[in-house]
Amino acid sequence: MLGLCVIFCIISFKTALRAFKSILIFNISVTIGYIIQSLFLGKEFFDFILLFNLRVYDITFMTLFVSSKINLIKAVSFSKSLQFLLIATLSQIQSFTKTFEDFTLALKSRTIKTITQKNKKNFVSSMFYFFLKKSLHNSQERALALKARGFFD
Amino acid sequence: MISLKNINYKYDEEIVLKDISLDIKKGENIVLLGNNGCGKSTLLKLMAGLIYPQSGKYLYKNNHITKGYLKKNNKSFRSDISILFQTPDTMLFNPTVYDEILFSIDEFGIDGDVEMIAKEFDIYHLLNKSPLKLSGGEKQKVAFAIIFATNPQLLLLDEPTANLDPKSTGWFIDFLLQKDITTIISTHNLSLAYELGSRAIAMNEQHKIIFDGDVEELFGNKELLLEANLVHKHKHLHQGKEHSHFHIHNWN
Repeated sequence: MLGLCVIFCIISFKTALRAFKSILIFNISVTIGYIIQSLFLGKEFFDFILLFNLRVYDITFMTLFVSSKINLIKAVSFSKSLQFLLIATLSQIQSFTKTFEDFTLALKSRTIKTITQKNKKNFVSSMFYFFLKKSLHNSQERALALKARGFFD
Repeated sequence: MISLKNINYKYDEEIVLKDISLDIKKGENIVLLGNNGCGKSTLLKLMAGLIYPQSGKYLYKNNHITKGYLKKNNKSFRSDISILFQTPDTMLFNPTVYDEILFSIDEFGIDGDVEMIAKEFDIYHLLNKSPLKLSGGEKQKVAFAIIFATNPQLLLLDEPTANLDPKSTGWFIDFLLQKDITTIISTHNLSLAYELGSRAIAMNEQHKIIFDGDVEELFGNKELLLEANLVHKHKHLHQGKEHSHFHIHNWN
């Protein structure tokens, strides 16, 4: 497992780093939780912790690496409906990612002090409301578009 | 006031700004023109100190704007510059319009009156409403109010009239022309550019500046307008005779 990690770093250091960053918080919290539980129960934990972390890392790296090498849209070209669904999903993800970034940048531009808990709560709830409303609107539009193109009646 | 030197910016390996260099003096009214996706919004965010270039230098009042600089001088920099985002929803998060304006005043320590500001922007009747429940045009006006409330020295406006009806667009043009603030407006609305800008900067789809000069000079250069994808040619009939000529896009 450890050897695989080293090979991954050689193949693509950037993807290896990305995989590391994306699992960091999740793995730390799970690891700490497991260590605390093991200490209470008087169990050995080192082997499992190492195996668990390396497995999660390897799976994450493989997923990121394969998805960066494969053109998913081409891969599902055997089904027109699946391809349409994938394009719709990806464009939605892309658009939401950009809007999410704008939300955080807009907040950054409007604040000079540390944001209070109350304002943080307001910010998160208004963003949540925006995305919920937008998702509903988009899905209604897409359903109509699919209907217009004869996907379902 | 602003100096950009050979700025390059990539977003996920995709080039967004390519070798951008320009100087902006205090008091200038600049329109940033170009088609969707050419990098106008990114350039405004960069000038607002919200993102940083991968290479090149951004100088504001002769200070090199970096993460480190803004950590130390966040208050003075953010008080100087206000940015209006393309989607006003991204800027509004307070429970009411009143709270929204009050937040800007309090945050920047401005001695302002919420009701007076609301009257100036014709949103007094909306003060007790939630920004989430407003129409697109109303949200845009609230967003104007919160960025002007901080008395900025430099205004960066990203498609400011995109959500406004013709009447409100007219009001906005008159309002902005009265103000003596350095403004950089990103738009692909040529009539708005003509009304508000004295200097035009045009970008092409390769994310480069292809023109920097007088607005009228740009409008007289059809080749450049075509390159920036701001005009198009198409065939149509005039008095029964088919021909083609340039058309200026007016998106509103």
